[in-house]
Amino acid sequence: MRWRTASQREWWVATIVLAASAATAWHLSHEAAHLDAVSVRRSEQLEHLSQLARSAAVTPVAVRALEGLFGEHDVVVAQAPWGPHLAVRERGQGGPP
Amino acid sequence: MSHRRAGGLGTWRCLWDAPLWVAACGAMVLAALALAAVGGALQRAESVRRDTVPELARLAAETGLAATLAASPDAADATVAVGGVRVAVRRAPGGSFEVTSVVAGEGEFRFRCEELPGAAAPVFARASSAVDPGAARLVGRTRLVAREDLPQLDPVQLAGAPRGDRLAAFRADPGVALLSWQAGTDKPDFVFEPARSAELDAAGGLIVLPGHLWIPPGDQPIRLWLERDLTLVVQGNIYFARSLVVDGPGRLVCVARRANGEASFADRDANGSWSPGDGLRGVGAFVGPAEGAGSVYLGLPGSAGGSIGCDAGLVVDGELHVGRPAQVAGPLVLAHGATVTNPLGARLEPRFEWGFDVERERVRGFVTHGAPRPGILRRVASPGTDGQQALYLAGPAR
Repeated sequence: MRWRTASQREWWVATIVLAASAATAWHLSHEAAHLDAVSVRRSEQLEHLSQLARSAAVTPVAVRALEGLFGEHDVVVAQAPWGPHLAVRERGQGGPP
Repeated sequence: MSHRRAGGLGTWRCLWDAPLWVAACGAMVLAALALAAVGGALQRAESVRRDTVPELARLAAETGLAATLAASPDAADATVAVGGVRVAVRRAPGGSFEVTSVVAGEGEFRFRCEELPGAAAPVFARASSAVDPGAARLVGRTRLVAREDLPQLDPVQLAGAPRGDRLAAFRADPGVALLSWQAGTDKPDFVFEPARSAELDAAGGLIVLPGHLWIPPGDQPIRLWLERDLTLVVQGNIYFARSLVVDGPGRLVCVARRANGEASFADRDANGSWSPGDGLRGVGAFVGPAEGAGSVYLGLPGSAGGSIGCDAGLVVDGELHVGRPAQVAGPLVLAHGATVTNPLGARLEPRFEWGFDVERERVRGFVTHGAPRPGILRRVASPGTDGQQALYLAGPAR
């Protein structure tokens, strides 16, 4: 492709610059929205955890909603002599915490 | 006018002649917008992360403490690894545990909890509990319980508790009963001295008041400041002529108790004294002071109208008398039932703004059941974490 004038070349470069900027900005905004969605989910999980901590009925079903909250650690229900309580264990480790 | 329009077009025309400059400006605006979006998202993620790490530390502490006590109930010091969190447990003097969680890359989080002899009665986790089915008609959200489900006062704790008549937080008032009851009362009458309510906190969580407690008539509610939970065992009746407001983090549980040689009754004629038509509660024959003991009156003759708010929890050994619309903020426990003393009718609504985690919290003065256990872990200020805020992300926010 041959450019007839310097002005045309400038316009093409400007268009490419703007398109690249817009694509980068869209990508970053998309990532920010994704990060926000994760933050909102974790906030809701923290709220759920706080409600569970106050609740007398701690069940394995109730802690499923906390999956992924602590990254490498899972929240589980453990059985102590005084009753069930919330506990954490390293992801992938079976058995009691 | 046309000259100015031509000048304006000329200005915009120069932009048309410099597309790279326009593109650079556009790129900068887009970059600024994107950076603002990313910066905001990172800030929100960091805020959530700051809230998440202490919760991980708390759960790890809970896990480590339970594991330590399961392995050795009498362990004095132990260190366990809970995933990537190192948890150190230390039994402190005075029947408490100090637990420190070290989260890699985040610092140290310290917690403390009481060692409890057992669980509290489940009624302290509910809005309202009563033995008499009739109570549910007057008191909303009432759950019927068996007599053996009622909380029992612990005589050993009561024997060691400070007496209210020796504390400046209470003042004997021989005339207060005559404001409401023509015949007055036989037992001593006390009122709160709100200016000295600091003594309530210093009492160690349990006070026994040998007489009746009055919240006398007045325009404004009686206000108390409590830093710590307090159980006030009133060996007599509790009379509310106006609202009682409890400020501060402490929770107040008022117990109206009937001693041996005293009677409780449903005061159907609302005269404040035993009369033949009144219904006895828990005794076969009337004995003791004429006004009885162990009952609570919400609303009294001679006091102004309006509803009565009570920020305390109430445990009523005898009968609850509802003379005005009333709300109770804490758990309500009725060993018998409730009687309306207002001919126009009245009802009590338990607000249940607070209760107890009966498995992990102590209600002072009452017998517990079940195995010994640690109480709720409370965060203690830690110089490594609470005193300093992170200036940068300590780890990727995901």
